Amino acid sequence: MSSSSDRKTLARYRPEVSGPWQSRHAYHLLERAGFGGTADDVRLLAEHGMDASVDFLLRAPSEELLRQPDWASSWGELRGQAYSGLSEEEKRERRRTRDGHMRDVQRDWIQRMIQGPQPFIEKLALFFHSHFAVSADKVRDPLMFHEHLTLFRRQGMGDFRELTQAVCRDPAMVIFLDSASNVKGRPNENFARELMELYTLGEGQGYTEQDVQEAARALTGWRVQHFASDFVPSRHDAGMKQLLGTRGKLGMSDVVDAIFSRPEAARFIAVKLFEFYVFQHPSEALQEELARSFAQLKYQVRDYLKLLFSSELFYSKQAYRSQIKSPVQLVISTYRKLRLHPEPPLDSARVAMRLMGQHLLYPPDVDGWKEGEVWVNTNALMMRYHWLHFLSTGEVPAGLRSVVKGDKPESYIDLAPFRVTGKEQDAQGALRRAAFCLFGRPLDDAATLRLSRYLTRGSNNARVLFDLSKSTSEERFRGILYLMMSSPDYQRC
Amino acid sequence: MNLYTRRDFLRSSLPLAAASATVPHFLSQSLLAAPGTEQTRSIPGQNDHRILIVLQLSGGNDGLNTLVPFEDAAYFRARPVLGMRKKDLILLNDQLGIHPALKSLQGLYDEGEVSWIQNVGYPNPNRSHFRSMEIWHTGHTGRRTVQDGWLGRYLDATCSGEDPGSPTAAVSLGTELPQAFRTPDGGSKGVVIEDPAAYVWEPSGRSRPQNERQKALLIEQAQQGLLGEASTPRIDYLQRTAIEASLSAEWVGAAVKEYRSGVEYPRHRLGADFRRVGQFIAGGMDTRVYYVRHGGFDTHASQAATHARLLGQLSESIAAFRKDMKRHGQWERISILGFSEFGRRVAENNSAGTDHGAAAPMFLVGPQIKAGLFGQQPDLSNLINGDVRHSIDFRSVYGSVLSSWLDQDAVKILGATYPRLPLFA
Repeated sequence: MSSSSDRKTLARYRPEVSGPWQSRHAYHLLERAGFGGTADDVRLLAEHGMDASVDFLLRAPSEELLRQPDWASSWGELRGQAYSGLSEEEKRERRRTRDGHMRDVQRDWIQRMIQGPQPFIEKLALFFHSHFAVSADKVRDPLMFHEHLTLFRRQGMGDFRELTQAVCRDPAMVIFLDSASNVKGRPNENFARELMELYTLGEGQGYTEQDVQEAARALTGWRVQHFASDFVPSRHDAGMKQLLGTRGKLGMSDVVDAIFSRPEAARFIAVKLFEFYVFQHPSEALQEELARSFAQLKYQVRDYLKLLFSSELFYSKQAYRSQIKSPVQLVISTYRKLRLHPEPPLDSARVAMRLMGQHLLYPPDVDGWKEGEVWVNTNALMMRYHWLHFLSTGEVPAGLRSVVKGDKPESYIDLAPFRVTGKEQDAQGALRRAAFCLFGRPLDDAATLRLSRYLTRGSNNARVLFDLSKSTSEERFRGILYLMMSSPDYQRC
Repeated sequence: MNLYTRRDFLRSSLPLAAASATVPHFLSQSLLAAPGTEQTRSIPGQNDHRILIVLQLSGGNDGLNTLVPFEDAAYFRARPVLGMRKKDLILLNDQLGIHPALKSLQGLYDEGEVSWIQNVGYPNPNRSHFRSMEIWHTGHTGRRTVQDGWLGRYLDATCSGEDPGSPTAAVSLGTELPQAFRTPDGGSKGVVIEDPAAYVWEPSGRSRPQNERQKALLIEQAQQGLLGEASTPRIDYLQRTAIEASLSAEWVGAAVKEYRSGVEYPRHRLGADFRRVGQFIAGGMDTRVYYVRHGGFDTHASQAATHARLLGQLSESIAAFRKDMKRHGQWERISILGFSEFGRRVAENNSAGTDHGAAAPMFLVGPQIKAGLFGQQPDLSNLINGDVRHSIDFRSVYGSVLSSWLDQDAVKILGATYPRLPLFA
């Protein structure tokens, strides 16, 4: 990878200086912009080059991606029916249906991440789900939650100011931050505070307590009625307000506009996107540049990410394999890299992520998930190991027994992509293919020797024939994949 | 690169890669050949050190309804609904009574094994759970420049030179590493264990030798990496955590195997966690600090029933644990320190609950502590923003525990001198 990591600029990647853009660059891009892919996916991108690959990954969402789930109409009808007159048993039944659909939302999302044609859109939705961290603990309606995620799919790539306007009116957010209790004369600052502190400006950056109080007044009058947002003029404080240098009879749109008139707004989200996609803790100077670029690009998330994914910095040592995989990244990218077959139940992925510390739709607090070292401690690592063991052997660990039933396959890892004929049919070739699939780069010599000894039962010659069509070879090779995925190296991307 | 000593590996049945750039020279081949893995695990005298169990009551425990000033009229004025009457309390003296759910704990109090430290807090109290917890974990109230924890600094101080100490010197029950275990170098001490039965890397081979080989490869790749990448703090962190997971899994497995308890622990999360701590101690683990959490104290609404249930769980768990440890002859080594990130507002709210407050009592349990009441009763006529003012800084308690129980230089670990309290006999 490029050694020009000290150059703190977003200058475009220069193959004539940093070397041709090839498979490991493609691998890196595919992993970061989405959730990785098979060796064939990587080769395809490498053939098409950087610009075509970035454009392909960042294409606008298809209509298909924005469709309602199958259960939307039946649930939409059911939830509109009176609840209060129901018997206890009927109420329980209604709640069971509702909670079942919330799991549908989780499974649907996981399915899209694993197999959907536009993983970039789903990864961006994951970023915004953590950024505007609404939890299904409080927003219990599954269709409302699905639509909340659809908002990120539809508008996430666009103007972040418009997305923020839309999120403010999104029923899930209106419920989550108690907007209904924010009424004229009795303002509730919860939403106003999080809007500035967590969503746009950053804690203590460019606003005062007075601004929060004035914004709370301006944001009065919103509530959710019949699962939709509703503005009630009589609950709105229509008086004069003054905040962030703006004065007038301000309402919700005006507050968001006033916030985005502050330079801190571009900086906060530009840096957060950069940290999610490139690396953590950029220098002050770089943060300045990120903010400037984002503002120049008129807050267009897609254009900004395109700039990042085409930069020297993105392919530099500082960025390459510098992230610790979140549980979602680990699970989904493993599905995509190995194209698991037979496919394990989606619920096993859902529960495995939860056991590893990331429960989709249930971010831990209003600040969302933190990234980095916090993902890995000894217990979380054991949970990762258990899931990988499950993939390798089909043995169901205790934590997944409630969601994986029926016959157990020999393994969920299909070895077909690793089979070759001819010259490469030796231990070294098998290891090279495994490493390319899991890391996008080869093993070092010492590791190659260690692992080939295991494959060949002690031979010191890595060029010895290794025939993957024999069942004992299969089992040993799966053991190697399992070991490689249990390495500290596989926890990074 | 932070690695483990020969002793650590010898105590396990795990292999040690010798010819590696990342393994320090003292892990030489000859040492590897040293006999015995089992006998080193229980070197006589090794496991008689003192043990501290930190018990965190998460969410903000209502101190005034834990240790109740039942003669104070101001208390009843502030709490017309939630105020607890003398007749319902277990009386400590003519002013104070404890919540009736703490009955078992009171049994220990009568035997001289419980102390209550009243009015503990810090200057300029913060009502955010997150920030206040951070203050209690780091032991620093000022600007948020210190991110390492008081227990991490203590554990750092007990290791010397290149020896990072045993990874199981500190164990956190549950799924998270407490900030208190973080060390100044940006790393942390200790391991996290939720369920000992699931705390293991399972090999996937079909024969025993194959599985032994897999385990060896697992350790080797954790030490040396697979890709020949240059070390970074993040790579070190992941490698160290992987090695610690393997080492500690061995010891946890062995400890749990050796443990037999005739004691019935209560069937809830806290009871299970104390049972596990009991297993680890009786099974001969070398752990000096255990971290146990008891959550749910953020009682903004309908507090009475929730609070009683939580305190009842606390009390019965400690009682069962004590009985178990006494049977195993381990109780003399143990002290339990209880705290919460803050108390609750003195005045109750309109939902039969209480909001976030400030100072509150801490407690110590154990056979070696000095039993009784420390500090002054809260002065409810002299509040600050509706909250109890603190009269004992929490770092006085930390400092006393560090110096009197853990034999460490408290000033070095806390970065300042705080008045010592005579908390131990």
